[in-house]
Amino acid sequence: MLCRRIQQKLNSHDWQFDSYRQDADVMAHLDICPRCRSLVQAEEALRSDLRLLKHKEPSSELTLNDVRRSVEAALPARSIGHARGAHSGLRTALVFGLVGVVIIFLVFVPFTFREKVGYEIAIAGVDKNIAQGSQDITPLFRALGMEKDQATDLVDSLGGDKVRFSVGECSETCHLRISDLKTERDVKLVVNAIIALGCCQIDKIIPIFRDESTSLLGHAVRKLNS
Amino acid sequence: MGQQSDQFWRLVELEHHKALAYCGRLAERADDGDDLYQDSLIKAFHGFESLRNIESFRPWLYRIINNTYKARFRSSWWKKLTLHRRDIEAADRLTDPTGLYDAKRRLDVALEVLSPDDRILVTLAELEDWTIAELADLMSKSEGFVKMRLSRARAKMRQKLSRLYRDQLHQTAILEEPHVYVVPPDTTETQ
Repeated sequence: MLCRRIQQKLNSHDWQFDSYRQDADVMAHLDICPRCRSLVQAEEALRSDLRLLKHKEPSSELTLNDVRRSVEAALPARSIGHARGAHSGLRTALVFGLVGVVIIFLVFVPFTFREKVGYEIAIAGVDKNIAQGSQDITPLFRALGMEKDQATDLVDSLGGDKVRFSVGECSETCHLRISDLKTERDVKLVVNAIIALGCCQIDKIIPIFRDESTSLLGHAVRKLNS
Repeated sequence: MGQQSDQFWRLVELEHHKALAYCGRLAERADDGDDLYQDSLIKAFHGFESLRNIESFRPWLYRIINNTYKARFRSSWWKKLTLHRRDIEAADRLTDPTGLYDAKRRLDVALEVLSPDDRILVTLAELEDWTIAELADLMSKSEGFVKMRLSRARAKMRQKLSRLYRDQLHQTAILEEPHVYVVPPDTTETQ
């Protein structure tokens, strides 16, 4: 409490330490609180230093005539304005040049970015006849036991014919890969459908990356659009 | 222009001593203070035609000095690196019984924490004896604003110095910590 009171008083414009000397509480507090003590000490030092330096002006031998001569000598050329004008012109040119370089860098310098372009789902335990007998994704889902409407809806929401599948290793059962799934939502739809069918197991979900060479600006635009 | 020039220099003459000292205080070095003063006067001379009210010559001149000072302070980082600190020779301390050396050193440390604007304000208020009303006029702000700004600047300076004092106290405490020396028993006599 006293710390706050002392700091508030120190901040006030008319602070006088002498007025505190009569205040026994404050004096006792200063004895035990090094923070307040150092603050009061600092304020006292500042006051005394400022008082001392106020009356001691920095010594300079510059006379008014000297200044007048040097100021008037600088005038005829009137070069200050011109020099500044030339200087600011140069600065503007530099700024424009720099901006140009940055724009060229952003637009034309290609960088290689690794981008996620889709997902692939590996499915294990698919019946050999079903896997090898299906030509398209919709008949495949139907052969796995899905209702016709449900299969059509699923394929439509995956983007129609864009989704492809391929048959992998086959022994008693086959491995299938459903590829060209664009988003995580597509993956979730297919995984949920496969789990609901209970015919086979999801082996793994593989994100597909592609290295693309494009400028920083092109990359930024693509990111914004996506 | 001749008449105007004479009028300009007559007005400068009234402020010369104080303004030059003020520049010295702001710039930290006497030489830099002279340069600051001359640069400011060149600008003032160029702009004197635009001064409509001769009565306000003093705040107008100080505004130019302050802006010149701030422009220097804002100068490129490589120029800042070459700025010299106040040239107080260590020898001053030995030949200075008035405590001026210590006072300058302490004030330098305290002023270091201030922005150029606050430094200008504190210098004018505390060392140049400008009134709050004059400062408010100079800054085109209210007196309350000036008081608040001064109070905050003072608090920053106080904090800085108090930290310094606490550090010094801490160091002294370490140095004065009593050491216990164990004197080995003198075995020569017994032998």
